Amino acid sequence: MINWIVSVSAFSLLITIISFILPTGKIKPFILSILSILGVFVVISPISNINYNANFNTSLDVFNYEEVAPQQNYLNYVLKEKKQNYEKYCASYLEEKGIKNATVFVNLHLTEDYNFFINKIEVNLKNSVIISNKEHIDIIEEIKQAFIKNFNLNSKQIYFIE
Amino acid sequence: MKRKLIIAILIIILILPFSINVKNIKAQSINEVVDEQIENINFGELEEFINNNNIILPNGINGFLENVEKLIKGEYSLNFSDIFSSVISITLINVKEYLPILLSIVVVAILVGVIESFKSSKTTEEVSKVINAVCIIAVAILVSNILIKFFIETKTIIETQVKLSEIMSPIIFSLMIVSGGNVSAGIYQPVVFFLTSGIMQIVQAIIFPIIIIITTLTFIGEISPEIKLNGIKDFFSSLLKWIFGIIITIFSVFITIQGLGASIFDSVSLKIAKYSLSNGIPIIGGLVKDGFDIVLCGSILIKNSIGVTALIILLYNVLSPIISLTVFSLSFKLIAGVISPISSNNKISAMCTDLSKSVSYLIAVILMVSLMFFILFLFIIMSANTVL
Repeated sequence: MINWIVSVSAFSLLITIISFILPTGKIKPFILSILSILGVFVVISPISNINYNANFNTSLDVFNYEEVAPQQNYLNYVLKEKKQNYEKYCASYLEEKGIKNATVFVNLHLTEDYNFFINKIEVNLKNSVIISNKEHIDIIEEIKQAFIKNFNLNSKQIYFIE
Repeated sequence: MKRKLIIAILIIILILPFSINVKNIKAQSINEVVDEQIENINFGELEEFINNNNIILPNGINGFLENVEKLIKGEYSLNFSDIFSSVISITLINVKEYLPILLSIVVVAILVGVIESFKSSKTTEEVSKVINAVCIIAVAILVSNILIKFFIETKTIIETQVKLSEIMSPIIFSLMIVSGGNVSAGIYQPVVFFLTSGIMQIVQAIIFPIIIIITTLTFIGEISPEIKLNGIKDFFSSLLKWIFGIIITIFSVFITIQGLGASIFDSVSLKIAKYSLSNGIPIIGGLVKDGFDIVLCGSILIKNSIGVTALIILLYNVLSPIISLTVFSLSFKLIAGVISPISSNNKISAMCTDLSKSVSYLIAVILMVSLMFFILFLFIIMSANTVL
C-alpha cells in the first residue's frame, strides 16, 4: 500500500513539474491530458494484482489463538486452600455425627478445563472414637451417603479405613 | 419429689452445653483471605512493565498492587478536580507547543495573499502556481514533523494498551477460574487474543496506511491545480469510516453475546453446586458453603479491583494523547478559518481543514482501541459476579 501511495505521489509531482516547465501553447493541454490518463492507470494499478481465485480461509493468525496460561502458583494455592477447607469441614461433620479424631484426606485436583474435581475422600478411623448411640455401621453408611450426595461422588470414591 | 425433679432438670440444662463438644469453626475474615490470595499472585511482570514504560498511575500512587489494595479496602477515591486540572494544563501546554507552527502557517498564508494581490502582467500564471506550490510544500514541511510525532504517539499508546492487556490476562483468567467462571475464562480468551494480537495487525496493516494515504493525498492534491485527487481521498475516508464501524460493531456484538451466555452458564452450574452443599449436609452444610464461598468472594473481589484499576489506568494514559491530538485538530480548523479571508484561492485553508480531519482519524483509532479494551474489562468485571 505504501508503494502505491509513493508511486501516486511521485507521478503527481512529475505532472506538476511538467506543467510548470512546459511552455503555454496548444500542445500543453494535450500532453497534460495524456499524463492524466496515465495517472489513472497508476492509481488503479493495484486492482490488477488482486488474486481473485484465492481461497480465503480463516486460518489467519487473528483467528488462531493461543490459550492464555493462568498463573499456576495461584491455582495451586487455591487448590490447597479448598482441599484444607473440605477436609476441615468433613472432619467437623464427622464430629457432629459422633466420630472424634478421624483424619480426612480429600483428593482434590484441577482438571484440564479448570474445574475443581474431588477424586476421592479417605476417612481414617484408626485413631477415632465413636461416641454416638447409633450402631457403628449405621453412622458410617449415613456419612457415606451424605458425602456421595453433596460432593457428587460415587460409593467407590469414598473410603473408610478402620 | 417435685423439687428434686426440678433441680435435676436444672442441672441437666446447665451441664448440657458443656457435654456437646461442638468445635467453633472460626470463619476466616475476608481481608485475611484476600491478603493471602494476593500474596500468591505474581504481579512482578506487570509492575516491571508499568515502571519501564512510564505509565501514569492515578493519585500519584506507586505501583499497580497498591491501587488494587486501596480499592479492595475501599480507601480509593477518584479525584475529579485533579483530573479536570490535568486536562486544562495539558491543553494549555499543547497550545503553547503548537503556537509557533500555527503562526508560521499564518505568515505563509499572508505572504501568498500579498504576492497574489501584487500580481501583474509581469508575473505570469505559471509563476503564481509555482509560488503556491512552494508555499504548500513549506506548510507541509512545517506540519510533517508534528504529524510523524502523532503517528508514533498513537502507535505507542495502542502498543502499551495491548501489552498491558497481554500481561494482565493470566492474572485475570486465574481469578476467573477460581471464581467459578471457567466458561467465561474460556470465552474471553479469543477476545483477549484478538485485542492483543489481531487489533495491532489490523491497525498497522490497514488503518495506519490508509490514514497516511489520506494525509499524503491532502498535500499532493493542493500542490497543483492540474492534480485533482479529492475523489480518491474521499474514497479512503469512507473506507476508513466503514472499517471502524465494522470492527466496533462485530466486537461489541460478539463479546456481548458470548459474555452473557458464559456468565449464565457459570452462574447456574455454581448455584447447583451451592444448593446441593447447603441442603445435603445439615448444619455443617452452611459452613461448608461459607467456606466454599469465602475463597470465591476473595477472588471475585481481587478480580473486580484489578479490572477497575486497569480501567482507571487506561483512562489516565489515553487522556493526554487524545487532548494533544484534539487541540491540534481544533487549532488547524481555527487556522483554516483565520486564513481563508487572507488568501484568495484558499488552498492553504483547505489543506489545514483536511489535515485536521486526518488527525481526527488518529483520535478515532485511539478511541476505538480504548473502547474495546474498556468493554472487555467491563465484561470481565461483570462476569462470574452473577455466581454469587
